[in-house]
Amino acid sequence: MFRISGVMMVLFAFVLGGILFWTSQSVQRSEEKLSNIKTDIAAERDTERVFSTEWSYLNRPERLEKLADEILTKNEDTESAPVVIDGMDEIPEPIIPAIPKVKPARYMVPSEISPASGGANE
Amino acid sequence: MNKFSRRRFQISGQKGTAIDMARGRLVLVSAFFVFCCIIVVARAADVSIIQGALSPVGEGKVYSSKNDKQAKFSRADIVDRNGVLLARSLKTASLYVDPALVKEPKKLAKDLVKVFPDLSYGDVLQKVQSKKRFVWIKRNITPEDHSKILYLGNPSLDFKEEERRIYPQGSLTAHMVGVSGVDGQGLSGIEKSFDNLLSDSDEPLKLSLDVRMQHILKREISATMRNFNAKGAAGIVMDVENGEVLASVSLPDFDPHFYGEAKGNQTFNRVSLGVYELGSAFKLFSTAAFLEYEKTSMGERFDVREPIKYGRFKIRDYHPEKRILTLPEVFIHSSNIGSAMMGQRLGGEKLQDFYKDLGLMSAPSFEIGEVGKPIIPNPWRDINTLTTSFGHGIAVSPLQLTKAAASIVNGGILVNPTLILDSNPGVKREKKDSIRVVSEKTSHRMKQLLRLAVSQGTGGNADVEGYLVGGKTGTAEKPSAGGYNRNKLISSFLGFFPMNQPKYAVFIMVDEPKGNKKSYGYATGGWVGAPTVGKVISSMVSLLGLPAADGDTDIEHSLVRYVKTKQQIQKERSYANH
Repeated sequence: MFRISGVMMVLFAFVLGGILFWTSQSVQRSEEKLSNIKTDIAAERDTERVFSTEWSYLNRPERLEKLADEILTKNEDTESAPVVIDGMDEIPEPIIPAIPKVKPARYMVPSEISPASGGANE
Repeated sequence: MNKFSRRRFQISGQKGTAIDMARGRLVLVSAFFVFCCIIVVARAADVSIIQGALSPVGEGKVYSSKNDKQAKFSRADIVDRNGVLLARSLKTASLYVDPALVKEPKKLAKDLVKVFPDLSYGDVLQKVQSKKRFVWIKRNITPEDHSKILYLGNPSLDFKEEERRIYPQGSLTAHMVGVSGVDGQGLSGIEKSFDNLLSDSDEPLKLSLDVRMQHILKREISATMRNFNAKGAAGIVMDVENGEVLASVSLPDFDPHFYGEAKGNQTFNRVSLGVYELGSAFKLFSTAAFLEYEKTSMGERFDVREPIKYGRFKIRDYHPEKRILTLPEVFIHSSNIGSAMMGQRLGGEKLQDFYKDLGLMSAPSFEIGEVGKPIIPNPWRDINTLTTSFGHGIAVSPLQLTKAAASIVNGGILVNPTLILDSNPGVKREKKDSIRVVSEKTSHRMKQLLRLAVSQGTGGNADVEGYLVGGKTGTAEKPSAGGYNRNKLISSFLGFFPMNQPKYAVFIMVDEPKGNKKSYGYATGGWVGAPTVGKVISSMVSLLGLPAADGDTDIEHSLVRYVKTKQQIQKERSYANH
């Protein structure tokens, strides 16, 4: 009885030790993963700061005005220039071309038929 | 019964005692191991379950690297009133060398000079041959240069992570935002005056500036400077109700990324630091004081036919009307003689007190350190009462002038200029905190006069149809040795809109403009400052989405009867001749 209980206790101690070790290792792995994620977040945040700073630089009022002058002035004289309208009434009616009348086929008279033309249509 | 059961075998005597002793020892050792197990289990439960439940999520104490802590930059951002970025610190690499690890110093120096052409070979060679273990080569290098150095693959070179202050808007807000040094300390402007706050806080500092209005102001002032070949210029846009500065430009300006290369006149802030005799713009204050203290009517008349002689001084008008003028006519025709008469009637003491109430006699309180002290006559003589009435003999900054004028047109409540956006714009200041400088009646009359000065006076070029612009021109000769220089002017215009309920003040000052063909050779406030203010206002109103006012809301109607038309004047003169 004593021996069995002693063996059980030793086994129990081993099992507990194993669980403890496994728990410790999994916590370490989780913390390592967390640390990597935090590093990635910090790097992404740095990148976002750089991009938003560059965005502010590219949206300087002076630059936007210059671009607007260049692009909008260029399109002013072309047919594809945007036209601003106030409502649907201002949209012009589409010009639908008239269906052309079909010209009747011209029948060749026998005097116009030459041997080279391959003969008259029948 | 089991033949091996304990009952069959009973060992007695010495052997029995030894077995008992051994059994006891085994029990003790087992108990010890069990005890250790219990401690281990308890500790595991404590560490993983109990402490894990109590500690905040994410705080790893076992694995923590230097990158693990929350990314905190040494300096907070500065933004404008709409959140547009004005200043930000970004991480950069700074290159250093450990001379002890350098094997081929000449080759290394050559390679470094190829990457950084602005460095001299001799300087770099000296650094790589130094006896120190840490020598800076170049700080805050670009990512491109960073990769070039890495490509060299020299183990004696290494990088230290630092921060560099970047100003995306460039020179647009350079004077007010200021600059910070290489080590992150503020050197001028908001960067300097809010150095501690910017260093400690993560929250961006929101200014009252609007980069869009800043751009409009700078664009128009730059064009005027070019057209009139001026030495410098300054402009300010202020909210008259709360003193918020929406735009402030001083030209010439500088690039904050190259602060060390900027010249003195570029870094000089003409808006707040420079003090100037602003001439006729000051008539706004002498007229307001006259109306406030003398309690007179608009029909008050002033005989400006002859210059005023005071000792060796002679006060004359720039464009003499040579007739008797009413108070509104004195204002709209900018008569120096009429204004001097007003000052004379008021008296030096009352005029000084009025200027003091408006904050014109001492340096204004402002959030940046670059604030100039006004130059006031000391001692104050009687002649100074006359001259300061029309803006000579007293020098103030454009910021001070705009603040004082805003305090008159906003209903008569003193405002203080500020660069910091009000965090609670909806909360109005209690009336007991307000300081009244003029009565509402005087404020209304001044608004009428300012509107009249634009619709019928010298400020006509500032008018923007539908927006009831009011204002006052200013033309002053600059002081020089022995008096004033007629060829060097300070031309300005102080405008407000919409005049029925003024919201914004726009002041523009041009230093030493020269007349051109378009201005018929004139370089006065009416030709230089007024059109510029008009252009700024016409761009501002579309930006702010302000609707045009109805013509019937013009407030000047009641004063028109005090202003004679050209026909009336000609008729009077011809009658007088006969």
